[in-house]
Amino acid sequence: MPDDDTIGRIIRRDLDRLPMLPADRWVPRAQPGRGRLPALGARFGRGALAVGAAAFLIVGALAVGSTLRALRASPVASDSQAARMQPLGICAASQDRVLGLSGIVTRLDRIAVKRMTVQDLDAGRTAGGIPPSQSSNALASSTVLCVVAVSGEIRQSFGLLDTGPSRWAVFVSVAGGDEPTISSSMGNDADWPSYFDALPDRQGSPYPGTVLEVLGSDELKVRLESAALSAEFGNPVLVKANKYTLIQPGSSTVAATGVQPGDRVSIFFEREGRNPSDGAYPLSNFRLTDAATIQPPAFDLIARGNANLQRISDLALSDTSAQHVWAIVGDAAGPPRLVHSDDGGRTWPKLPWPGRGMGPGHVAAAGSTVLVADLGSDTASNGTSATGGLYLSKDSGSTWKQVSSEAVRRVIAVPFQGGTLFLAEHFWISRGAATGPSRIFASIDGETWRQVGEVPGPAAFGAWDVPLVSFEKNVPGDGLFRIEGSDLASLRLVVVPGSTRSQGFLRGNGNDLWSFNPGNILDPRLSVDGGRTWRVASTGLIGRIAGLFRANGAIYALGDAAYQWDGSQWRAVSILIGKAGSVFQLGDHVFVQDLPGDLWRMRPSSGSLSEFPICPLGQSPLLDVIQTPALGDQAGTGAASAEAAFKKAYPGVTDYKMYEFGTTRPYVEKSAGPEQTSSGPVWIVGNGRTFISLYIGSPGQSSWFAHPATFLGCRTSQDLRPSSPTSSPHPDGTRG
Amino acid sequence: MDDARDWEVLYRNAVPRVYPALLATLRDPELAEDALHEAFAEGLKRPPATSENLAGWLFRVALRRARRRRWGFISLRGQEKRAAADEIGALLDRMEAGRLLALLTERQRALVVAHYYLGLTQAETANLFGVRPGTVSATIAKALSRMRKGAAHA
Repeated sequence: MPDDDTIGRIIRRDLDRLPMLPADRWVPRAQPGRGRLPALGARFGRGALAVGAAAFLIVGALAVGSTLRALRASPVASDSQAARMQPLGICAASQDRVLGLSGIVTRLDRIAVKRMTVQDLDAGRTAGGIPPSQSSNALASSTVLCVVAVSGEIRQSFGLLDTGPSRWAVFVSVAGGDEPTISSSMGNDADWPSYFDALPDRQGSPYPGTVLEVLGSDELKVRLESAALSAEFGNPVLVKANKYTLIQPGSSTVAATGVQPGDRVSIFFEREGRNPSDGAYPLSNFRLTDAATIQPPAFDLIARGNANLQRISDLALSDTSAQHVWAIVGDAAGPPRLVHSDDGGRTWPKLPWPGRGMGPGHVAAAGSTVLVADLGSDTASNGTSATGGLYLSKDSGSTWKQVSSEAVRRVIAVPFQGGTLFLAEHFWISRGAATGPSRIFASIDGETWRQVGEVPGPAAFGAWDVPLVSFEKNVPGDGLFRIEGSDLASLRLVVVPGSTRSQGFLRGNGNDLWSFNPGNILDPRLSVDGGRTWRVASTGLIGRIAGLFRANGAIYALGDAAYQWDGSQWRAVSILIGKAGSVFQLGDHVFVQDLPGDLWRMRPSSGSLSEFPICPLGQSPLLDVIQTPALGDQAGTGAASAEAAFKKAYPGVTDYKMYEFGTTRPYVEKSAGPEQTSSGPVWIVGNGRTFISLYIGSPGQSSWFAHPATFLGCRTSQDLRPSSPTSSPHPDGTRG
Repeated sequence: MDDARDWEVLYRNAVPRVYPALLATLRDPELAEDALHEAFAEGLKRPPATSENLAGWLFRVALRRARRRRWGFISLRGQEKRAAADEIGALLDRMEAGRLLALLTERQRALVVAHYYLGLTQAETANLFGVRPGTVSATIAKALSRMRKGAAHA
């Protein structure tokens, strides 16, 4: 009989698998002829009416329920482009499925763009054995389209049949406008849509030029090579990409990343449609260089549209289970909240919070020990506070006790002598003067604290993996303190002679140390002498940068675009991710929250799964999952539980490896129908060539279970269709 | 929330959470979609005072609209739409959660989904649905009991 936690877990797991409403149906469509908004009330204000009138043409009609269905069936008809917005509809062929109006490109290996008419596209599709799109019903045959082909791993965003990743996709939009993609098709039959190669490319006149400046992830300044063109377009000319907005995510990052100043490019831009505000010509497209291939590290989109996860201000990860993550979230609309994920970041239920101050401010974790700092709302000049304090939980956040009643500004966990050291800053506010010194406390167990020193102003910790303390106050003298000592009794802050103060820290290669201000990063600084001297290292960075992270020995910067430090400057690279809002590095784990609020997590860098691909891309493993009895233990990590269960079941097998299959890769449970993804990690056990066993993780509130599974074979997407219910089992247990 | 566009952004952020909750509660994609659209429109006219618990707010408004709509328009539904509802029903029946939730009344389903899927506390759920916290607690306890018994007999 399942307990309440198990029922809750089942509900979260299964409801996340329900088919999503296609994005074009999230809001009711506009009805032709309707352009009036009702009074929106004081909250939206007068200025909103103009915005609303443009965006929501139908609201006046919404009071009548039956109107909705009629509206949904009607195309948007707000301007001369209205007919073009009619979706192409569904056209299904054996290997060519139009799955929705957009796809999520989770790995991009190749991208190419062509420009052609509707007639060209339909003719090319017919010649390639693909049914013509239904675009001709809605678009004039001479309408010029922008057709973008991508290969890699593409998932449909929405739709009833989530049949797993596709290997190629083609996105179509109307050239020269800002409308979103009007059609997308995807397939698994090949690595590249062969019919795309046969399509004509009616680029008109290519304008060769040299990139002078990359002004943003979608904006270039190009010096045209033809002097004759200068009179018409100006020289240099400003061009702005506008065609990739629904190749999710981070569409415009895909567009311009990889183009460097000095690159020769061919520009195909529209003569009409110059933006009067900035003078930019809309790009039809520009020729992408090889550098546009998406490079590792790869990120998985793990939480999308989660209302409990708006604006993460701090993040902590258990050092014994990478599935347990805690976050402080909240925006200006409400007090901060503490949320916890026990499935690696996919789901984020709220945690109880006992504090009475300003709410949770910072969080640190080690194992199932969690510490949360609350500055308090009544901090006195000596740092005491009746409402603030430091709160400790030994059970991952279910129950709490207050371990300090002083105003605690921040708490962090840093690696120290093979374990974890907690550092907390007790904030001392001097009345009528600038902020006073901050006292630094340390603890091994989170319960027993000892003051280890003092810094002149608000502390700046060596975030994430560097046990250094600095401060924000601009006073002369040494700026860095090192933590020294072997146990709590001997720990102390020791000044680093000749050092200058700094903000957050990230360890680079060798003795390199990076310094930046998380959340407000402008100029990252680099020290190659352990923090004594720093130099600004921002050459090559363009626009907004959200943060730095380290992966595979390289340092990356993320913001509106992605960059890698090459030792002397930042080089644009293509990391397929939404435009980053905040970046968190916790040990070797990296989390990124993009601007819309979706959460990404760096894929494990081992890449070991690639040496043991359980199924070819585009196919999914068919599993016979034994739901009971669940194996595993209450305190172990997912890997440990799965490995222990494997050793018990296969005592004589010593030549094996564990492979993390991930939580976002789909699998099919025997006779269960649609593909599923696990709410916990999936571990494959094999010897690099032969599959032996597999374990499905089911993380709960405070426990983790491994369900053994038998691998029956691989299924293609077609196999999932009701008309082809048979599978291809592999009796010997090896992959097909 | 400053304007209608902000509302749409907030709404779009919440939809991936709210739509599955509505599907699981109503077991009818057409009804869920209509109800979601009406909640969107309601937010345009009378936006919630805060974006806190926006998913919960949309869920509650959509459910209220769905109840009104169900009585008014059920006879107009075509065969195609009934087929869609049947398809979702069949999918839910294949899922463990779907089978468990099917044992409950729609009201019990709504409260269980709000608490366990949308992550609302019982107090927040009570506030949203305009009932006493004790009522939420008792309803969820009764629902859990029914699901536990159902699972034991499955």
